Amino acid sequence: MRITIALCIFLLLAYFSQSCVSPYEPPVDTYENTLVVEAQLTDVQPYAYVKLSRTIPLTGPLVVNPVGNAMVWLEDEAENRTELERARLGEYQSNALKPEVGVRYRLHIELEGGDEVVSTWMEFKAAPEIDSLRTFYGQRPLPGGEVDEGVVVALDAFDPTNSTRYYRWEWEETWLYVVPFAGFDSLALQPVRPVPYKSGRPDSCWRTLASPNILIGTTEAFTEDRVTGEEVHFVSQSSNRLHERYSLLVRQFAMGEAEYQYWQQLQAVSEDVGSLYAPTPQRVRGNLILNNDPDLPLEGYFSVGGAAEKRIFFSRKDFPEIRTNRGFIPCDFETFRFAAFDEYRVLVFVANRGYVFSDTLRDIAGTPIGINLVEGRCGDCRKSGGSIQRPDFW
Amino acid sequence: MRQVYLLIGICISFSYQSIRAQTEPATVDSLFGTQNLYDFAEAYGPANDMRFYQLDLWAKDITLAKVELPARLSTLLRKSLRNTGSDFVYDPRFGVFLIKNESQRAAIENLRLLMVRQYDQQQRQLNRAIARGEVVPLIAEIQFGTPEALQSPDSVATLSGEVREAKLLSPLSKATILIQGTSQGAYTDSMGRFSVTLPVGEYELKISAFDREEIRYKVKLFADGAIQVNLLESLRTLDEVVIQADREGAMKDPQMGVSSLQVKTLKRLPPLLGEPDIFRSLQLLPGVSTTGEATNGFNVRGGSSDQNLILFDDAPVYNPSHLFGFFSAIQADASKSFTLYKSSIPARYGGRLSSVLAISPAKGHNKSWQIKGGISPVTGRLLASGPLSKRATLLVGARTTYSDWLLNRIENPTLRNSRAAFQDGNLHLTYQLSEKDRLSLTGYLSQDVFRFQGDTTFSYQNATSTLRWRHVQNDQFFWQVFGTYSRYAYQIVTESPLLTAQEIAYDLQQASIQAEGTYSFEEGRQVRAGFSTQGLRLSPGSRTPLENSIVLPLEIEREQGIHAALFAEADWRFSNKLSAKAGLRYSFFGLLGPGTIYNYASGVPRSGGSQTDSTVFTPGEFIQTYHGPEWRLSLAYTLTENQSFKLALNRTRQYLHRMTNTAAVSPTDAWTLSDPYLPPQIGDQLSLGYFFSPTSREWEFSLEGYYRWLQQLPAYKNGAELLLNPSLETALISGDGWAYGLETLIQKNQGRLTGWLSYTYSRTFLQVNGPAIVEQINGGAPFPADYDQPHDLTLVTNYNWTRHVRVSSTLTYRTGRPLTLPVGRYIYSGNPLVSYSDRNALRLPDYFRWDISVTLETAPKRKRSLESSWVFAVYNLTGRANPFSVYFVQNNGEIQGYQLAILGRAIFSATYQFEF
Repeated sequence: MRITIALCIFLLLAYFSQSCVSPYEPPVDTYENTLVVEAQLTDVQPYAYVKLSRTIPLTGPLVVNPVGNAMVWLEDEAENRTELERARLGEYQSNALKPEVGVRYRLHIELEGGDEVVSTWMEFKAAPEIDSLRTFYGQRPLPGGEVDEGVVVALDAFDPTNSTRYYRWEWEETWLYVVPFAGFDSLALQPVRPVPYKSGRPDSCWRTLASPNILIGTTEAFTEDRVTGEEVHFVSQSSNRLHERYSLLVRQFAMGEAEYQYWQQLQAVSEDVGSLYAPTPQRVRGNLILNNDPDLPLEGYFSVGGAAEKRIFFSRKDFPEIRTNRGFIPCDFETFRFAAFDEYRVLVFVANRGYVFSDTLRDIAGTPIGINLVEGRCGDCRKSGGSIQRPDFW
Repeated sequence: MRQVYLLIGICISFSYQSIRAQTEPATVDSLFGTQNLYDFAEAYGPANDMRFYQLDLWAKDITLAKVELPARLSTLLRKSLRNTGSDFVYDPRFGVFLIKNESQRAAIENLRLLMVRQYDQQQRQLNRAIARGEVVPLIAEIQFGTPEALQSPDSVATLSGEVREAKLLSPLSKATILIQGTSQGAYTDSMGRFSVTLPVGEYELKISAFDREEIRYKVKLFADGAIQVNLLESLRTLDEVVIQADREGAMKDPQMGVSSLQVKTLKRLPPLLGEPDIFRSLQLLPGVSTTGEATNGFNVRGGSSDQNLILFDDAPVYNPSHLFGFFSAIQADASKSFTLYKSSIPARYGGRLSSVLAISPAKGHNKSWQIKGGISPVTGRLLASGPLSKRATLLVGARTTYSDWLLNRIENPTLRNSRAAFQDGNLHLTYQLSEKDRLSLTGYLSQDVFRFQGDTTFSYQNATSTLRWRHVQNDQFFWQVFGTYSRYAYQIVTESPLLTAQEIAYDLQQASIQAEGTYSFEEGRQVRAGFSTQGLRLSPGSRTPLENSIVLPLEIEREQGIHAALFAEADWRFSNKLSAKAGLRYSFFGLLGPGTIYNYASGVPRSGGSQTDSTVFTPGEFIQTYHGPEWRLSLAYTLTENQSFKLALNRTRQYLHRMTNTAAVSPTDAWTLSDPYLPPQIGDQLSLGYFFSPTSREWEFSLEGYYRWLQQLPAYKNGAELLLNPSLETALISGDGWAYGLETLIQKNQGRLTGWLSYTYSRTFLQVNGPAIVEQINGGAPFPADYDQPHDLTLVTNYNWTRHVRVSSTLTYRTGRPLTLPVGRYIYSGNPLVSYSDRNALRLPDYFRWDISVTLETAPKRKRSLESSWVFAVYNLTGRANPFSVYFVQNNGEIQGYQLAILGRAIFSATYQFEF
């Protein structure tokens, strides 16, 4: 990429040529409205889960384009059929079938319009427990030459039966954070007075995010089926994650070799969309076949394998090695005095800039003479994506 | 054997009349049924090569005198013109000057005297040239033995000889000796020698070679004889040969799929930014294509670009281009000619699958010093060549860009910190040790530096050298020994951010020695055999932190290997109709220790996870060896003098591979040796051709078809990282391929308008179908290769407006190359992902380009001390933005495609070239 730009610049300079890079509008038929099947059969509830969607064009907001009205069922080799029920639009699940080790299963999908997706037969494999999730202090380089500090979470697992071999991990992080200037919900007018929050002040929130990367590993080269110190996550101190309390749930899935290869390719192509001198990625093929034709495009995989999970809790206080604090958020206030109250201006700050009410301004006698507005991120933790609802596991 | 050496040369033509070298008095055998002088002269002149000057309608009133035939021409004229008031002057050098009446006599006499003066002057020049050995006089007839001395009228005699290039007296190979009126002939071998055995009798010989003045003369062959022929470089006449070395030879030569271009021809093609370019002109030939403008590779008959062996005086050049593919790294002035072997690859060449491009260096002049130069928008170049002593010649040349100078003058600081520069230099020395021994030394160096925004600098260097000793034992046998050394290295230095400042370096060195002998039998039969040994040493990549950087140093283990081959080839003429060229090469490759080879669990794809242990090899120990035969066979069957059929079959093996998983060859692509996980590539090709050229030789037509099988081609896993990968084998998978095509070429070789039209239909498919999914591409189904461009049409024309003005044009159309594109986005298991098309399922828009150039020459005459020319060229006249590549950038979850059209508008350039 850099080289090409430079080449262009070189020509531009020397020959007053025009820019040689121009936006490329792919031909209309380039966008393939491809079916995406995210399907999993595992031994923690929900046992069977299928999410159907279609790919979206390359530009525009990234949203899920769900596919409803499909018939989804599983079958085993004894021709026992288990229907999946519609959970939400495009999502189908069932707790009726708990898979058994050594049994082979197959996924069927019938779409509205007659298209049919069938998976290959997949054998169910149990997953060993996660022996431990270890945490320790770590560093990561930052762009600009600085170093970020944080906490590394590493995983150990062991399958004494030597049968798992291929692993995939997902994690879900949840953290508690507080905002310093949570005040009241709104203003009542005539007379102007604050109205408190009905369901508690949003000063503490829990926020939950899922792993954005593909995490896989294999022990195929080892004599023992033992995963040691697999680093699943690095929690940076530069966010607000470690300030109060942090929790990480790690799910470990067992899978077969073919599925491992599928994820491996997905992982490789997700890293780079392709620049001039970058490797050329290509379609990743899985175990699902559309209308009996393996050349028809289809994304996704029917994953079959046991799952195990483990949750840990920690906070910054547990790691005295962390010295830097990049998580500090400055807060901007706006003061409105009742004496020259400008309703419209308040509205502008609340509606357009996301400011919230932080506190009442009083004179020496304690009489309210105005109100303070503060940036949303400092006055309402929900503005940063969290929820004031305490999770069950907390 | 009686040795009669005869010097043959060229007559320098008058500017407006030709001279006649008539010694015998002209006679008249027939009046051609004519009654008057005018009609007679019209008929007699062409039939007897006699010119009549001032022939006009008044001569219709002159009745021919009755004379007894045969009569002398002068007698007939004198009798016919008696008492008419008209007269004539006969000058055997020029012809007959007719004088209508006395008032014209003076003027005509003046004309004649002027011609005589010119003739004499030319003759004196010629004599001086002869004295200096530059030009030799034309002798029209030569006799060996006498008919009376023959013992039997059925006996045969051998005519042998040597054809040399008149200026440097170096042997001319592949010159054609044609015995007119028979289907006999001969080609000179690489020492310029030929021999042909004929029944005794009188023959007319025609000796020609590419870009040389043709010579014809009569031979009365009644005993064995030898001649020495020096062919002069053709004058810049209006007849210009465009491509194909020997037009007559091409018909009978069993080799096919061979294209030669002289650098002179190349300079007639419209240049890009004023630089005559070897690779750009190669791409105009049928069967040669490229994936884009800034790729430093070309593809031959469905082969990838690393399957071309590019030799500069027999030393391999590993990165043959400047500025990532804009210009050839070897400057045109420093090379004499280049030959591309597409299918009939001689057995003495090996190591690459698809083609051999042999570039021969220009040699120093042995008579006088000559300086050539050129100034174009991008570069300045200068080349000097001349004699050092009676025995030694020298050629030195250099070329450099001044774009750095331009960049430094730009206001924008980003651009001011950018650099884009290249230099190259050439050296060629020859030394005549003795009459039979000659030494030559070639040296070549090139360097590229490129930086953008002052943070990352790319640079790469090529170096080659060749030392050669040629020895001519006798007329039949000669041998040569040569050693070469080549080096290619690149560096990528990233200076910021300081914390990750680093240098990535790659280095490849190769030294070889080759010895070969050639033995010639009579009648164009020749055997050549020899061996070559090549040592290779690679540093596949190292990463060194710069000061204050936290980057960990990394050095990929060095690789070393030995590549040896034994070869023998024979040129054999079975009959006048059938000739063959057969060769066998047995090649051996060994990867040598020290080295560490990782072992992998069996039955699963190689990956970091399946690594079990490693084996360490000691220095000099063979880690892995590969060997096998490579056959090369070409047959030509001459149907008639104008038509021939050819067939070629060959196998090639390749032990050195360039690792690239991008469509464009990028400067960071590294060559690597075969190892236990990377077997040699093996290629087979079968080609058939039909060649037709009408007797006039003005037009030529050829049709060649081929089918290729390619085995064990390296391919890469989806998204594999190749740079600085210590266990590259985990990224490698292997595939097969096949390619077929039909190439048609129509050439016009003579006249004011010359050029060629070529059309190629070709397809190339690859199939990568390993046992595991990660070892497959497109699920194991065949897919078109990155350089699969089915339709390829080229039209090249050269029009000589006048002697001084030449207009050239090239027109190229090609199907767009295949592409793999993102076709959608989706969220999967919480990960935002991109959905891609199958490998190479889509195509770029078609490629079209029209270039045009006008060359103005100030001094077309040979003897002027300074010859200079201006070349005005427009590259991509229609300004079509041919997308070179499409790539995608992810920005806030959106994926924006960009198309890169390098040279996406018309580019004008003016170049000044000089020579003195």
